[in-house]
Amino acid sequence: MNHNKIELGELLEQLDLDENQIRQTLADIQRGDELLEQCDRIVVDPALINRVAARLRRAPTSQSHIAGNRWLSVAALAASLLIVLGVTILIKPASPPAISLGDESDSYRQQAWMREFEIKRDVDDMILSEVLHCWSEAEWEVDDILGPKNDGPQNPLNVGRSPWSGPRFVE
Amino acid sequence: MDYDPLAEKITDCQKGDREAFAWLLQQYGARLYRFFLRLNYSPPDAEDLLQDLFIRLLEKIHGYNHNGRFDSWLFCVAANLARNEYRKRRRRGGIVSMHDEQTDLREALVSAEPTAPEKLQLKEQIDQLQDALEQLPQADRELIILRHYGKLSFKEIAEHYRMPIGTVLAKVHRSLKHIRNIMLQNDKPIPNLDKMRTGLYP
Repeated sequence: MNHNKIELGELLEQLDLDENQIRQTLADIQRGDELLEQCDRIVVDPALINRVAARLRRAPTSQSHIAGNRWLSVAALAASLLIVLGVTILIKPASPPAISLGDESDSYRQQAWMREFEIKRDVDDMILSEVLHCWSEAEWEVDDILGPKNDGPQNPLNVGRSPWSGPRFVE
Repeated sequence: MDYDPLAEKITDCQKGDREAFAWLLQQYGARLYRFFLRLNYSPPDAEDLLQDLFIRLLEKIHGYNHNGRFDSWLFCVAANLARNEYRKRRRRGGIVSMHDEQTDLREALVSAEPTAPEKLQLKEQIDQLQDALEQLPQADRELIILRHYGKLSFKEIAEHYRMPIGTVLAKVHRSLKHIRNIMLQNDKPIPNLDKMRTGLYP
């Protein structure tokens, strides 16, 4: 291995060592390289390489591999779309179905279902408006969130009314 | 412009030509196989890794831009593969080193017709080197082996491991010195190995 001479210049530029130190180090390395070179005489049976070559010839081509991957990607995408579609249908807010005028019992069931739907929607609206009302009723102060100020009088009653008062020292 | 058969084969590989891949395998297979063996993988594992590497190359070679340093690129891919395998094994069974499997390599080496005394001496040497390599931490061993088999420069190693070049130099220096010390401890003369050959699979 004769990288050493070629690399000396590069190494001198990048390392904070003087030329002699680098030469010494590289000489050591070269001795190690030579030793490795001398001891490395494992001869590989050509049959082994031929065996691997034969398996390589049988391996799928990169194009077919890529094409296979592309089909897999398309299949995965299609499956994902189907799942998304399914989930969308599942969580879509229910809407009253069209009323069929042909059958009276059918019509009755439809109306009952619509009524039920309307009640549920009203209840939801009431809950929401109640929450909003409570929220607007609370007397929010910066103090309630950041904690009591050190200066000025504290009003424990005001603090007590707030649902977000948190742990406090009551004077 | 000089004719570069490697560049031509790489282009053929990028077009999906299997024969070009087989050519690359003939050129680099033995070196890569030894690389995996020296990283402490057993002969069957090294063969599997060689195969995995070339199968991976079927995809990866499209992203390679030939700049005359194909060896470095190839061995960096091989090192990544070996490291992933090492991590996988460590996660799976807590095996930090493949020492137990390494006996396969030893047995294979010893069984390679130890008739001539020189051959036997060579096997001892290979064994000794393996011992010395095994004493290095996995990361340092990989660095030494990658430099040795991949013919990577310090700069390329530094880029691959995202380390300062000084750190790479210090690590290589320390590790090689360590290997030399272990190997020279026995005080045996290193034989002229150029004339000697051994077969892992005789």
